[in-house]
Parts: sequence; structure tokens; C-alpha cells
Amino acid sequence: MHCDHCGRETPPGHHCAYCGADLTAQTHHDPRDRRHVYAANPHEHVYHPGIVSTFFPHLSPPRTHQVRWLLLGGTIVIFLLALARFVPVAIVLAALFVPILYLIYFYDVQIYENEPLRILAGSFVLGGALGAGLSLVSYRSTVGLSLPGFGPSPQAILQVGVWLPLLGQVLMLVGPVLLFLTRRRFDHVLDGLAFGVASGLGFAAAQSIVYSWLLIVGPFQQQGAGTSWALPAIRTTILVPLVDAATTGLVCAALWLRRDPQPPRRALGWLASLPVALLVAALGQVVPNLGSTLWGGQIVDLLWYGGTLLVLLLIVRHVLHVGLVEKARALGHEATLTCPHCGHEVPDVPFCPHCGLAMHATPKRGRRAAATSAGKEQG
Amino acid sequence: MRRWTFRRGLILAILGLSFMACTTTTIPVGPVVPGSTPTPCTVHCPPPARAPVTGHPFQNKRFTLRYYDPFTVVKHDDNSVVLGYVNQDTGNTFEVTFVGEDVPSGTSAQQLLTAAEKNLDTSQLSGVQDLGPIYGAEVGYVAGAGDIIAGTEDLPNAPSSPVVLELMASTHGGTGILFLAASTINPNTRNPGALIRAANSHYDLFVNSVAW
Ligand SMILES: [Zn+2]
Ligand SMILES: [Zn+2]
Repeated sequence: MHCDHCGRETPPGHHCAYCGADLTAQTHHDPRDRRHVYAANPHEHVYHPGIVSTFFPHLSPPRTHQVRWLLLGGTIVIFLLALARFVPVAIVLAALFVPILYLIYFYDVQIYENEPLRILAGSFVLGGALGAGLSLVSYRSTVGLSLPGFGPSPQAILQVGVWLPLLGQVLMLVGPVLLFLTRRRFDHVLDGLAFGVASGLGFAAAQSIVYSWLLIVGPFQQQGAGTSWALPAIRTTILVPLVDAATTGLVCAALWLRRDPQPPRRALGWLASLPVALLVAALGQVVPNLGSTLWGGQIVDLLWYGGTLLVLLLIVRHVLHVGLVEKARALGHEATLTCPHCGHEVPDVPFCPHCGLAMHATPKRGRRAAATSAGKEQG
Repeated sequence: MRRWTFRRGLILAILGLSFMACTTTTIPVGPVVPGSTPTPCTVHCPPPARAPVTGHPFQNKRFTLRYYDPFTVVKHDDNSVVLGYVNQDTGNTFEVTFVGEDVPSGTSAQQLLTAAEKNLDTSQLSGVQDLGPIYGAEVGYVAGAGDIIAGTEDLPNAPSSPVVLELMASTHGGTGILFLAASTINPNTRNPGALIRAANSHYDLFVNSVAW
């Protein structure tokens, strides 16, 4: 079968195995953009606000489904615990839930290849250590800045809303940048995303635990309205960690797109450039923090963080999709892999010809198995 | 080989800079707590003399009062003044506000207090609870009503540290005066309750000095 978009002969299917173009598209959109077939999860549109397929792009559909339910179930359990005012348990679970889920994913898909400890140390652990450090030293000057009755002072607005989030963002990038400098063989956009997300999640978890320390070591059941504990619990469980993960993951994705030696077929676009990613990350940090400091309230805060997360999610997906499509290359295992999304056997090509999955968004564990079996066959 | 060394230097520099960034955000930690006063007395000693506090006068169109070190005037206008103090050793923040306002004649102190509590913005607090009335509440020796409210300050990423709000109200003729003290407790403090009580003695001095 001939692809009109890249000019190569491709195995029969809906998608070109080399450029990923939609060969059956009847729309007036450019079939090479294939916006309705997200490269990391062909069942979703690129601009579908899916948390799992954005932050856990290597997962197969059954695993995606499991993680989605785990996220929902875990958040509900933490919400109910907080509603019952079991505050220490709720806060510890809220701070650690998404990071632990991500670490399981990290191991499940073997992002780290053969150095799990160093990669984890460079991303998750360093992110957590810097998050704890920044929170410990800024704690005294942060609490009490917005005591009720007076409204936040300009000093509080600047500190909580602007410079602490920006400094935090810089610190979240330290670990991934070190990995960028020292681990050149991790050269794929999804590697960058994973390191950034891990660092952001480690940072957020440490920050929540330090800031809430007095509550964690406090009474097992707190007083007051349950909702006033449950609403912030949602923010701590899902919104704050994912905003940190998204801003850091976005910058890292843009950074790693520059590292990837594969020349892009077409321009990656301004949204995938490093300066724009840095600007979006800075805004992603400042907008919810500043917004909730200036016009806060426990429900309004959820809107600030939720809205910011939604926008960041769509931008991250756009950048990942563009990177996966325009810089697509074969995995190099020289064997066949079973496509985790459609179940077809796929040779060593950049895209599954049947469903359009970018084969880089498959677990590294599976690729190694394929490479090993190919080696055995050849030997 | 040279490139490797350069890269290693760069990594060390980044790590060093990031930890420096952490530490430079520290607010200056206050002076070291002074040691015990040298005294010849060893047994059956008199109670230690209270450190002298310096009073400063404050006046606006509504009222006059005296405030005492270490509090300073944070902001003020014709009807109100905010006095503040951050304990540099513990990080605890104390804020005291006096607001004067016209009230319809016959308004009781309790009515003024209830209205003030309704207007209080506690949207950024978790677990707000009423700890009960302040018995013997007064402002400027005019008997009034008082209430203590406690909650937890909700920082952008997580609920954080306790906040205690103490309100007192008094009315006198067509004018009402509202007193609101807010304080935080730092987890580094060994005995946070003692600090609240210590601050209360300051509050008493302020509250008793009000004249309107
Ligand atoms: Zn093609
Ligand atoms: Zn497929």
C-alpha cells in the first residue's frame, strides 16, 4: 500500500506505518495531523481531557482503564475520609496517592530501562527533597500571611502567589535537567515527560506533607465542618500534584524534543518550543496560586486549580501528539510486537498500521521482550 | 574527558544553586533567645521582673489607644487600625485590629459581635469551630461581648497551620468598637498554647487603653 503523505510503501491498514497519517480520512483536515487519533491512545481525540492517557501514556487500554478507576476510587475514598474529618490519614493519603500510583507505573512500564534507582533519584527523589527543602524554609514566612479579616497583604500575594510557585517550578526542573545532562540515551519526548512528571509529583507530595505537618501529627479526628476538610483534600489529592506534573512534564517534553535526534517531518509548532513551554509552565504555576490567594475560597480554589489543570492537560497532549507524530521512528527491536491497543501483530515500524498508535507509547518492558525473542530467533 | 569534567561541574553547580535557592528564601531568623538574667539570688527568689514594655500612642477620628512593643502599626485609617507582630523565633504571626463604627442607638455588644462574625471571611479556613465566649470581654473598660473561633489556615496546596481568632465588641452611645485578634501557631513551637496566653497579656494592655 502506498502512502501519499510520505511516499513510502506501508503495510495495509488505516494508518501509514511510517508517518502515522490517517489513510482512510474523509475529513477536510490534514490526515497527517490526525487530531481525532491521539498518538499515545488511538481511541481518544488529542484534545480529550484524559488524565491517564496524558500522564501515563505507555499504558495499554486495560491498564488505562484500571488506573482511571483507581484514580477515581482513591479520590473518593480520600474525600470521604476527609469528610469524616480523619484529617491526618486523609492528608497523608492525599499527598502520596498519585505519586505512588505513578511509581507503580514507572516500574510497570520500565521507563528507567536498566537503572531504576538512578533515574528515580534524579527525578522523584530529588523533586521531593527540593520540595521539602523549599517548604521547610518558606513555611514560617508563609503561614499567617493571609489571616482572615484583613485580606491578603501585598507581601502575601507576591510570596504565595508568584515567587514561591516560580521558585518551586525551577526546583522541580533541577532533577530532570540533571538527567538531561547525564543520560543522553533517554532521548524520547516520553522519557522527558516521565522524568518531569515524576519530579513534579515528588515535589508536590513533599510540599503537602511539610505544610500539613501540624495536622498530620495532630488529633486523629478534627473538628469543624467536614466539607472544609474534604474540599482541600481533592485539591491536595489530584489537582495540585497534577498541575505540578503537567508544568514540569511540559517543559521536559519540549526539552527532550530538542534532544531527539530524529529530524521532524514537519515543523513542531510554536506550542512545542522550549520558551513557550517555560512560559506556559510559569503561568500554570502562578495563575492558580495567585488566583486562589486573591479571590480564594475552598470551592473557588478547586475551579482555579481544575481550570488550570484542564488547559495544561490539553497543551501537554498537543505537544506529546505533535512530538510522537512528527518525530516518529521505529523502536529498533527488529521483531514484531503485539499492539496493546488493537491486538494486531506489528513489525518494527513507528506506527501501528491498524489503529495508529505511536509504538513509542508502548511499555519498554514489552519492547525488550520482543528484542530478546528476536535475538533468540536470529541466534 | 574535558567535556565530561565540564558536565560534572555543571551538574554540581545546578545542585548547589538549587539548594542555595532553598536556603535564601528563609526569612531572617530572629535574635537568639537571651539566656537567664544573672542574679545573685538562688533560693526563695521573688518572681522575675517583667521586661518593661514601651507604649506608643495611636489616634484616629474614632478612638485613641496605646500599643506596645513588639507590635507595630501595619495600616490604619479614620476608623480602624491594624497592629501586627511576627515572632521571629517561632514564626508566629499576631495581628490585632480595632474597628470603630456608627451603630444604631440601642445596639448591644452581642449584636455587634454577631454581625462581625457573620462578616468574617473564613473561606480560607478548614475546620472552623467556635471555642466559646470570652468571659469578661471589654474594650476600654466598657463591658461587651467576646468569642473565640479556631480553624486551620488553608494554604494553596494543603491545609496548614492553626489560626485562632479572638473577637470582642463593645458599644457606647452611637459608636461600637470591635476588637479582632488573629494569630497562628508554628509547629516548631514546643508549647504553642503558652504563646497565645503570652500574647493575650499584650492584648489586655491594648484593649484597656482604648478611649472613644
Ligand atoms: Zn506515510
Ligand atoms: Zn494497533
